[in-house]
Amino acid sequence: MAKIGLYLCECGPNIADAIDLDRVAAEIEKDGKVAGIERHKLFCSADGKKFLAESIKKNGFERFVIAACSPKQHEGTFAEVASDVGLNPQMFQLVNIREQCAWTVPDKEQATGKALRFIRAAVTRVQYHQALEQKEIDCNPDVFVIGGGIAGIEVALRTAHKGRKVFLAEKGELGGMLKERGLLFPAMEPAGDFLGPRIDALRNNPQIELFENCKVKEVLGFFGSFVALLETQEGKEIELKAGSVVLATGAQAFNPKELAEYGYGKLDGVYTADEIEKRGVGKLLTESAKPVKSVAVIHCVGRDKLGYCSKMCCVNSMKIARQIREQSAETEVVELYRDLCLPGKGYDRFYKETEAKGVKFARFESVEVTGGDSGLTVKYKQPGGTGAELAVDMVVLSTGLAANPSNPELADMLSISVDESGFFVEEHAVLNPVSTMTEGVFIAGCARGPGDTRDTIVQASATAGKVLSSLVPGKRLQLETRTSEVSEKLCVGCGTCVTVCAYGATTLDESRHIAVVNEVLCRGCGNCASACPSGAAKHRHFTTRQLNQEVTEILK
Amino acid sequence: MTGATIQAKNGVNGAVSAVLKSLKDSGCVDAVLVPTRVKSGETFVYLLIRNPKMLDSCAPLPPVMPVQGARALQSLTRHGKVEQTVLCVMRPCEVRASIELAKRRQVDLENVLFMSLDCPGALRTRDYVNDPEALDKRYQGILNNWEGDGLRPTCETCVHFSCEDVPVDLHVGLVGTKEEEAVIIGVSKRGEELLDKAGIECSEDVSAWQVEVEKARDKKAGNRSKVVSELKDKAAGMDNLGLLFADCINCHNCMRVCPICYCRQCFFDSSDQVRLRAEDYFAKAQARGGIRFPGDMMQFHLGRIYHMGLSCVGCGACEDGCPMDVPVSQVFAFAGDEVQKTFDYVPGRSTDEPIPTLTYEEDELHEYEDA
Repeated sequence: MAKIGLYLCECGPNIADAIDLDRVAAEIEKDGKVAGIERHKLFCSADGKKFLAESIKKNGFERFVIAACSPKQHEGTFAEVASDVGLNPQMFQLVNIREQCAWTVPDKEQATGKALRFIRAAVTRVQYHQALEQKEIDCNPDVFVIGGGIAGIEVALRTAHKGRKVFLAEKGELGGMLKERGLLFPAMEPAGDFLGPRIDALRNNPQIELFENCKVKEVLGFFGSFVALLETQEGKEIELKAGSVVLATGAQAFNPKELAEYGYGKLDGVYTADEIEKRGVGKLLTESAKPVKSVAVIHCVGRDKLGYCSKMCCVNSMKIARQIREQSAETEVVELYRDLCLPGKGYDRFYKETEAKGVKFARFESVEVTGGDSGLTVKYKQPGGTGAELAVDMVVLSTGLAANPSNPELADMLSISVDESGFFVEEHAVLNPVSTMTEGVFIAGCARGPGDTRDTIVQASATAGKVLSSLVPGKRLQLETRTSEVSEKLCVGCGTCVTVCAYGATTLDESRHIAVVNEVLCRGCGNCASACPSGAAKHRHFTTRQLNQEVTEILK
Repeated sequence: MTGATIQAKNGVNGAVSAVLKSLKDSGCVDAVLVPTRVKSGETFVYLLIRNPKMLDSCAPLPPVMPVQGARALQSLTRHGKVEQTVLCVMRPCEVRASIELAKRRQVDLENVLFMSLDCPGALRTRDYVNDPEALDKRYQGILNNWEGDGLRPTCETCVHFSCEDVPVDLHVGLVGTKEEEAVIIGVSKRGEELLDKAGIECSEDVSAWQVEVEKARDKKAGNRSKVVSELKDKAAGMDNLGLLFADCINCHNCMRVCPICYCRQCFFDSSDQVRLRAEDYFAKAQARGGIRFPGDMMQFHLGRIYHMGLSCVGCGACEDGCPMDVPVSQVFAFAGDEVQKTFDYVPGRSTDEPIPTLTYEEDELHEYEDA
């Protein structure tokens, strides 16, 4: 039998006060299964680790049990000590006598009894531990960007460098919401002047591979080693490998059809801001059947339904109002707003400039658009309750931004969440706004919430920075050592383990009619081993024998 | 539902064999997998028949079930789909077991068709081999009156004896039909086409038969709840359970004949992983005064219930194969009923119904949560 050492950690007063460690030591010694017992005030301290290492070496222990705290806290610490003294890091067992005994069993006698059972179980279990090999792979520095709007384009351009490839998948055409914008506020520059060169740069960059009209079918793996499966419109599948994933799925304009009060889709002359931009303000004014002498721009369309302020629509609608005034000086434009949202640099000035161009502003509490032979009527309630009416030739609905409907599906694939509005949830809304709960998965632009083009560029740059600093080419990635394996001899290929694997690590080898485990993807959760009825799927560090011996000892 | 009356002057077997022949002649079926009496006469085996002449002697509804049909189909399709169309003639429980195996990729249903028959139950194989002639006669009586002595206890409580909740293509109705007559029904679209091609016109109303099936099912359901409630008392607690299994000799025959126990090697046969060291047995004996050997008998049965209870179709093969008359099947039915109800799962009902333990539902089983 291997020479086993037992170490009892006092964890300051945490364990020492709640458990009779002298009795524990005496009883375990009586069992005669360990070759030595030592105790220390705090094994996780620098002093404690040194003491542990020296003791293992001095006594020539081949395996050891350490009764201390939760493995979540210090399993890694003691695995390092094991490595340092030349033992395989699997050759010890950490027993949690702090959280599971000292802190949760008030009676000292009972706590001591429970600790004794756990320690005995560990002493038995550790005899069956097997040395496992620590495998490493090269970290994949490549980046997979989902979404070809301005956010995705920026991230791709900023991360594509020598030694790092970028794959960009877009389900439709490149350009996102920006390709249908006329001018960009506040500078009033044509969006095309800005977007066009960027798309050209994207297409000409040898480090960037574009997949237009491609849907993301599946993403497996983890930080440093993701495997994505794309599907082209023709149904062809493409597999690509990357170290990180950037979600830049953007947003879409809220569709006001479902809100009857605006008459959208029913009344002639009612347009959304997006439609106006798509068709061009000038074109709309000149091609109209009768001259457009008056326009009402209604703000906050969809705000209540969406449940948030979309931030960019106030200024965007002013941009349209200004364009109308500039192109047709005799056209009256009234902006009907609920609250004006003008945050940050330049936007308040933009508002004042708009006013100076003769655009009128009026506040409303509720609004309704009706149609008649003579034109459109906008009835609205002013603050305080008095009603007012405007007869206009055209109504522009300033709509908010809704989340991309494919977000939940992608979130599912990447084990992250979407909020109640369908936007991806950040790792921390304030402190980590462009990373997510899954390491190596980042967000940029309107995928995380509504914003304007400037916000999107800022975020995309931040995301690119995160990606670049975390995925350094040449970095080595340590794989999970405690993985599962499937016995070729026992497996009948029923596929149970494939169904329960949350990481896509088990697959069926159709030719041999058995299941196989991909060691790079396996995270060692043990789902397969617990679901396999024949024991063909087995967890390397939680074997039936190890668990059976452990449990039997506890229940003795 | 409509069907066609078929003449059964030479018994059910003769009538069905005639149908099988016309299906084979029509060319829609390449082979028939059907029980047939062995030459010596005392038992039945599944034959894969290609020569229509051999269908003359087939026994679609034998009095016993020495081999569960799903096992026969499993050995035919284990390595993947068959290229020729095979019509499997089976009892409903055998079809259902085949479906459960298909969900576990042990049976490939492509090009496989099923025909089932109203099943009054089966006699115990051991009784039958002792006196085939007398038991043949007894079974004929059971078929005529739809009741009689000597049926296996599991069969007395079976509510899936007809084609409801059984995904068959063709079904032969026998309950309550006139003597020397049966009805054949195309249950699936495929089944209707088969009968059409074989020139069997199915335009008769079969509601009279359906009413009889309902009546018979009510009776069996009554038997079932009675047996289950009796068993509930008998099987409560480890001590009682130990008594129920006391006669077990650890032969594991119940596992070997179980149609859905599909492992290449049973976990409990495969290694000594679950067995303890001698010193641990001594410690256990010390604690309890004495322990039974070999030590894993209960673990084997509980393990099998845990693995297979959810998918148990209640065919009774385990109990039929038990040399010691341990009521294995009844205990399985009892445990299976509970867990199947919990998941609203009917084993063998449809290949589209996923095995509940392999699917994740966020919103379920709240009754088992802590308050």
